[in-house]
Amino acid sequence: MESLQKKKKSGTSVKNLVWWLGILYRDSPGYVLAYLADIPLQIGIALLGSYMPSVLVADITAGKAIYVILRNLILLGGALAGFYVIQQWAAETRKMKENRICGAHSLKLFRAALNAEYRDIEQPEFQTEFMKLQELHLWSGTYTRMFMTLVSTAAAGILGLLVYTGMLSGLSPWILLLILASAAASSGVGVLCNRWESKNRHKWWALDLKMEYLAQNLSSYESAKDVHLYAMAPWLRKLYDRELKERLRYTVKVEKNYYIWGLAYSLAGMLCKGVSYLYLIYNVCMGRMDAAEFVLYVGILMSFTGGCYQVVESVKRLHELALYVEEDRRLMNKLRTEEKESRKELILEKDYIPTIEFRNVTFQYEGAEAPVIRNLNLTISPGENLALVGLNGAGKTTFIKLLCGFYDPTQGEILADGVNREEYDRESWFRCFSGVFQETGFFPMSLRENLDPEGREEKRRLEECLETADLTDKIRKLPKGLDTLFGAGILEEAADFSGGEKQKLMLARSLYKQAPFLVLDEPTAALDPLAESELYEKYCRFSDKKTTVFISHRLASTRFCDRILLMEDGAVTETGTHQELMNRQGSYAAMYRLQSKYYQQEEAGLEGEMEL
Amino acid sequence: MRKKWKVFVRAVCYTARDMPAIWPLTVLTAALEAVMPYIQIFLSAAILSELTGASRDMQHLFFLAVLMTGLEFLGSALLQFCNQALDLQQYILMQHLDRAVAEKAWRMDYKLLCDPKIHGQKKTINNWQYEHGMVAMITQFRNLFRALVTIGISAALTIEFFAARAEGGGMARFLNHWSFPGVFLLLFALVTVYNIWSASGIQKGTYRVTKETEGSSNQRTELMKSCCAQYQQGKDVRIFHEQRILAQKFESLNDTIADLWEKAGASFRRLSVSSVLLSRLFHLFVYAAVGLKAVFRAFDVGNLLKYTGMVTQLGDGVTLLFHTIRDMVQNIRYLEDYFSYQETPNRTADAVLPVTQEIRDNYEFEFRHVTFTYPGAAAPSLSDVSCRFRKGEKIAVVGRNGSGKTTFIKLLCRLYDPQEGQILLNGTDIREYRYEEYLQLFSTVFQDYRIFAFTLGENVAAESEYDREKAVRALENAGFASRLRTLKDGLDTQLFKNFSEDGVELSGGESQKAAIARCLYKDAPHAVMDEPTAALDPVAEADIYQRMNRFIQGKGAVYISHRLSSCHFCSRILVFEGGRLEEQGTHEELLEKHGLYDRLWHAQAQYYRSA
Repeated sequence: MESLQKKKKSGTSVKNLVWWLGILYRDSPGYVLAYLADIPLQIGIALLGSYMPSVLVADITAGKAIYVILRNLILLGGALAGFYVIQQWAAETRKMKENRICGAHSLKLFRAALNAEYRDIEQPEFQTEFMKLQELHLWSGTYTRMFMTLVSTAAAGILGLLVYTGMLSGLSPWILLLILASAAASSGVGVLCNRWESKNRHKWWALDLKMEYLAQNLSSYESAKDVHLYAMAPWLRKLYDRELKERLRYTVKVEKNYYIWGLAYSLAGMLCKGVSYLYLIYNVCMGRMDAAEFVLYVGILMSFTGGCYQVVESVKRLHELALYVEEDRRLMNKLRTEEKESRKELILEKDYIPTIEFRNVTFQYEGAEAPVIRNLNLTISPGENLALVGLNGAGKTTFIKLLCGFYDPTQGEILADGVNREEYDRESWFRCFSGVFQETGFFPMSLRENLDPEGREEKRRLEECLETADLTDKIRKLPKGLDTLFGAGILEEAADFSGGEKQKLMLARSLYKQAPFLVLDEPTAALDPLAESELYEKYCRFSDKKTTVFISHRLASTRFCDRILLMEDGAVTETGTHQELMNRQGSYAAMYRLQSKYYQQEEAGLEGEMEL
Repeated sequence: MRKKWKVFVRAVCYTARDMPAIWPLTVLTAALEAVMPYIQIFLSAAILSELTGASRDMQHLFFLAVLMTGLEFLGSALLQFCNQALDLQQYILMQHLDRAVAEKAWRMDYKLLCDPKIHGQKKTINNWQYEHGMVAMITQFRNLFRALVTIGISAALTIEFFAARAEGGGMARFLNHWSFPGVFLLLFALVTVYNIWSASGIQKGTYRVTKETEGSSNQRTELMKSCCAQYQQGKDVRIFHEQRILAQKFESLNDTIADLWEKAGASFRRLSVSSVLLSRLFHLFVYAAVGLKAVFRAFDVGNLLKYTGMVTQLGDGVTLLFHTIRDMVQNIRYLEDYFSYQETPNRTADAVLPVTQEIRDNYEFEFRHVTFTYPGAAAPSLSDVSCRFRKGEKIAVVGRNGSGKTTFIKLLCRLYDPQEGQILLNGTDIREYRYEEYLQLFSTVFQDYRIFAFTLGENVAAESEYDREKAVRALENAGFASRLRTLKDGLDTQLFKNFSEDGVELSGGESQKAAIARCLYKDAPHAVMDEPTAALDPVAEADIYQRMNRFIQGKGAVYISHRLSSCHFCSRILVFEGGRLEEQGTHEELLEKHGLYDRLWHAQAQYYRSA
């Protein structure tokens, strides 16, 4: 049973390697061919390298004419030089192509992630896998190069062994068997050492990560304030030394292992070489071989020995590499968006807004114990301005994600004018929405590209939106205006924006996209009271003729909305206008009073300690 | 020039002090490495000579074969040991250097660390530390020794080769003439110079292209990161249909990078192929020369292999020597960089005045005409600010975005020093107090506070050994109690997933509470809080303000908040506008003034008045 599983495993690993080879060949056949060309070259170089001295020795001992000696030498040496030159040329040619090939592959991965379902990329496993693969493809293609090198060395090794065996057929087969056996034995030791290492590797990887975290993250200027004020330096040093001590224990163990492996290697090498020499010397002394043949056989036997190790080693490493390839393949498959030809486009006429209905909607995150949204029923009329309030963790942000179409309900349906959302193409659903989300959503490219990603170039309107978001002054002060790069600390020429300014930028973008639905998740958290109040005053204007949803911990914002929804534990527990909810004396009223207490006290002239 | 030597001497001394075994090991490893190939070269030649000679003594031949393989085995066993020992030493040295760079940063003045020059310097040191600087210097010295030994041995053999006299006339006479070694050495020199020249051409080109592509490369990496590490941005990608523009950006960056490398690659190919061609042709020439000498009986056939092997060694040795010297000269710049970073002087180092318990029990701060401009900024962030506050007072700092509120507390915490004016603690300039002791006066929650990937308890206590009861109490007072109950490892819960899959992620509100708990645990005489409740809902906010109020009874505090309701339980309010302290007074006083505070207050309060 176990061996069957193992077989299956190595079967898939071959399949994975072939898959990757296929992809590389399809992307760039020249690249793959340049590697495959190496196979005959490697063998040719090994053979010529053995023949050249042997022929020279033969010619001299036979007392051949100088002309003949030189001719043979030039023929063989010239061929050898030619092989070397071609090999180098091919190697440099592949290196030239490497960047493009790896770039193209990364682009595929990048596209796949951009077009994947949002809920898929939100999974933490996706992020770790993605990061790992990104390194495989991006970092100058180390893995691609390693893979192709291994494929060609393995192939050259196997082919070479066949050729050498043919040439050594005159010798005792025991010699070849001895070499094969000792190669197998020493790589057996290697496998044992490796197995220990790959089983324990995660232990010191974790330590490495910790040391790097201490040395890099904690020494950044972003951490410096806390490190200073909490006098962490001596403690951090202690932590680093603790991790390093632990790490060195492993390092020494690993080195010991390698030493044993290396000794086994040298021992096997010595055995092969010694026996080969003794055997060949014996043959020469017995007159079965002359000195020139001796030189030739020494050369070929050494190539044979090298070939054995080459094959064992490269096959083993290919096997390891296949695991990465498998992950790559799996991720690509996972990210492939489902076929959606059957879905129809949601196309809205200008200024038309559909009614949205949540019908018995329940939503639970994958792997979570309890649903975040429970049996939610809600109708949002066209043009309605909603305020969504509730405690941290009540499900407000999840509600937004459901509404915008990032998630589908686990149970129940979301309807637009009575039609289930799932009948529509998701992309066309996204077209109807615009918004400001909690995290900064700008990319390291120019402001213009960030604000107008679809390249509509409606200059006048863009200016209006910037004006509404109170950014005109800030943009005017930038030397490059809208062509300024975003991403301070990452890109060299990028401008720095404060938290409040970033929020304003995102507001401007959400206004520039004229969508019938506008979703604002805490758009004022970083704004000062005057800026906040200005935004509220403008809110009526830009929420006109739109359905809007406004989330905020500052309950003042609810005043501008037609209806307030109070969420508690994944359900809407209160709904109505501010006045209605205040009259109800429920949770909303309590929360409102809590926040407004001091502002109102002023009016009432009350003083005293705050009490809950 | 002399200064450059000094840097070398300094680096050698530094490494010798840090890792005493490293230099003897380097020399030993280099010598072994250099000698190893000659075992094969000499003994296989001896075997071949014996084989082609008139009398073949099998016993002697066997002895030679066993001696050769035996020596090689011993040599490689020893070499491997030295190699690994040296690797280990270099690894430890590397870690020590990493630690030293970090430790310098942990203790460096905040102002200096924020200086883009120094923070850039640190970042580049981290980037090259594996390829340049002191660790690389060890490898370079090892290569230098190895090259010198190799050149020494093979030069001796080369002389032996030239000295061997060919027998006979004609060709043999040329082989014995001085012009033969002349031609030989001239060709050798030409090939070696060309190889060195082309290799450094490739290296320079690679460096140039790396620099040229750096910006695009960075941007590409950031784009890639932004769709996984910052996956939240995926929402914006989909809502704003950014897939096309992002993919286009990525593709055009790809093309820029690939084009540059491809263009440079063509010249690299020319250089390296021509260099291989020349080397192989010279190799062929050596074979012919050695062969001819053997034909004219200058030496027997066995020595054929010895002399061809030796020429290869000599070439390798000379090339290695040149590359190593070039690397060493280049490395000086990195060594200087490292030392100059380590020597960045701390302005806080020489203050001597202790912050006594007496001061902690009874203190008063005074800002006296303080003006401060950020390095590189055109206008001051604070100008002519004067105010006083002391123990027991709760101060609220309010103002618009960018009015200087945060700068005010940064100066108070000595993260920066004012350019004009003074900040006094009990009448003495704070710059005269010992820096560490001065900072012990404050418990802080900054706007951009950091919670680290340690355990929850370690984060709260900023120590590994801490008072667990006190930590739990701090967490409870920060409103973290209900979350704490859901963590099965309690205080020992590893935060974030940096090191382990089981790490626990905190939401924005939760980390804010953890930061507040850290502040409470420190329990310093004076609390400094910059927007401590921005991410919290109204109930949690009110709850925390109430607990905090109890906690700071009798202590001093400075609060910054955009939610002006928090001003209520402060004894005094400082209002900043454009870097100036515009108004100060109690809530009531300021409202009566009808100034900026009044406007700010009403901008917010109007929405809370009963409608």
